[in-house]
Amino acid sequence: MVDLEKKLRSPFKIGNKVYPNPIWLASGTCGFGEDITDFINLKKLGGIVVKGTTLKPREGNPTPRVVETPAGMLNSIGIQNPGVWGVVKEKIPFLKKYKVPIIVNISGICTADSCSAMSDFEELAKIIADNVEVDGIEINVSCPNVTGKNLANNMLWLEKVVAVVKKNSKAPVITKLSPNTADITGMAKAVENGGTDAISLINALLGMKIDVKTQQPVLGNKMGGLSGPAIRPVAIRMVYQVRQVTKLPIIGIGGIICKEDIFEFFCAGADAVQLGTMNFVDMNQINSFF
Amino acid sequence: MSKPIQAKYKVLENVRIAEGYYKITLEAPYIVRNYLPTQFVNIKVGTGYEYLLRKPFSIYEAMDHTISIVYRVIGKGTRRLAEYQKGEFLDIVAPVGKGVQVKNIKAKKMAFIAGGCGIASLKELAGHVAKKFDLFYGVESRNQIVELEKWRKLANKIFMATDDGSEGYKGFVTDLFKEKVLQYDAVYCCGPKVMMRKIYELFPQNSYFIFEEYMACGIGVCMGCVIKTKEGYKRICKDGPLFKGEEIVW
Repeated sequence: MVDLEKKLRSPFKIGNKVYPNPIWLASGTCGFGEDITDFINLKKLGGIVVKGTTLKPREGNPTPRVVETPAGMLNSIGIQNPGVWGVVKEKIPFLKKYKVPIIVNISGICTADSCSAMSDFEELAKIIADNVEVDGIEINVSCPNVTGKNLANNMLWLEKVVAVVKKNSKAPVITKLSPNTADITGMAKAVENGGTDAISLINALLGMKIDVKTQQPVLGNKMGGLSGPAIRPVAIRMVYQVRQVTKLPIIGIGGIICKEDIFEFFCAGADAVQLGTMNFVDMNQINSFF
Repeated sequence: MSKPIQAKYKVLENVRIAEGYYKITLEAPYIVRNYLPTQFVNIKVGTGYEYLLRKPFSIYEAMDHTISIVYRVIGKGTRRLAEYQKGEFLDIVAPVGKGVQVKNIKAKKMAFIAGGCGIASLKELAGHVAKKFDLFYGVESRNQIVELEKWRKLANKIFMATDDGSEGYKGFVTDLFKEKVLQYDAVYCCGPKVMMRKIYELFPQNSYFIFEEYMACGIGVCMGCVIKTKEGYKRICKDGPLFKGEEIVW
């Protein structure tokens, strides 16, 4: 039996990189750290994964962008962010003050009309490696809100994109997998073949809510990513499955609300976790983990 | 601006004040000491995760050590809120939002314009500029009017509009305001988006609007509750909820 309490308080490693503990904040749920500092003591975290960063600034999707669903929520933010240069020049230097390991979540853009994802990822990795020291790169191949083509399900593409980012990065590379696939272990093996240093999962599940009064989807972008406790059993199952096929570090994500939920991810095979939707709901609870 | 905190606040009273409208009063000295008008509170309704996200509510009134919130029961979250009894506690993040420094308001003759539960967002600001404004207030029917006697003490004049004509003018409050646009040097408005847009068209220069949107975090991190402005999307929870009409892409 694993001492779960001890694991919660122990450093966590990806390759040679040591993170002070296995509790991170998930991308998109803590911005670039600015506003969440009122509530969460960033210095205590094992890591903070900043908002999805794209090559060019993005204004994001039309509103409404969020809506509550049973034990969860849907979002279709659309990676509103200042672009990699804004992140490198302003956001990361600010966050450095807090002495928390910084993981930059990067996204290539692929819409129905045009796909620059592969070259975006390459350039993002280069710009970050050449301009700022960070503690990890998380490859977002699975944002449910910007990817027109379903690249998160394409094993050859996944392997290639991971290899490109790995080749151009100085920091450890983590690949965040999408749950919107019938073959999560296949995707895990693909990113391992590409050379990822760790795997994080799951991103949000693609979902929809319809307002029966208007008979239309509630979200401006119609579909969105489902997160929160509602998706935890899916996340646990996928972490468990991925653990069977890889020895890489796994970071479990999906509807963690309390310490017991973190332990459940540990039992499924995760080495660390990311807290997401909970950052919106009960920040005092997060501080109680440390 | 003072720091928002997450804390538990005791319910002192929770009563029905009009058809579909309730007023909940909480013992909240920290919020009273630290809020600015138009800032709001973000309430976790219930325990457990059936009502997962916090719900944003304007501060309707703040007294010595209490705040009140006026809310309309429109969904399961507000239905659950209406069940809270005296002595129970609510988990709240507050004060959030940007808030207004009342001393910066130079206007002498203002119109406050409320549509439906928009009235709940205007009272605190009105209390700070009492007797410098007229109230334009529109509801569907007279039994939905919230605390008119209190408003009479604050406003110079009150112009009521109801959809069914049961109180005041029969029709939209925007029609009432249209006749009197020239009398004012500033407008503060909260109500349905379509109404606010109409008010902006009638009074584009010095008009301010309190916006509502679905929110997830309420503290500025999730980028969920944005509004399109001439400088791109801004966060209603952090950069608002009050915006100058000219900023908005209507």
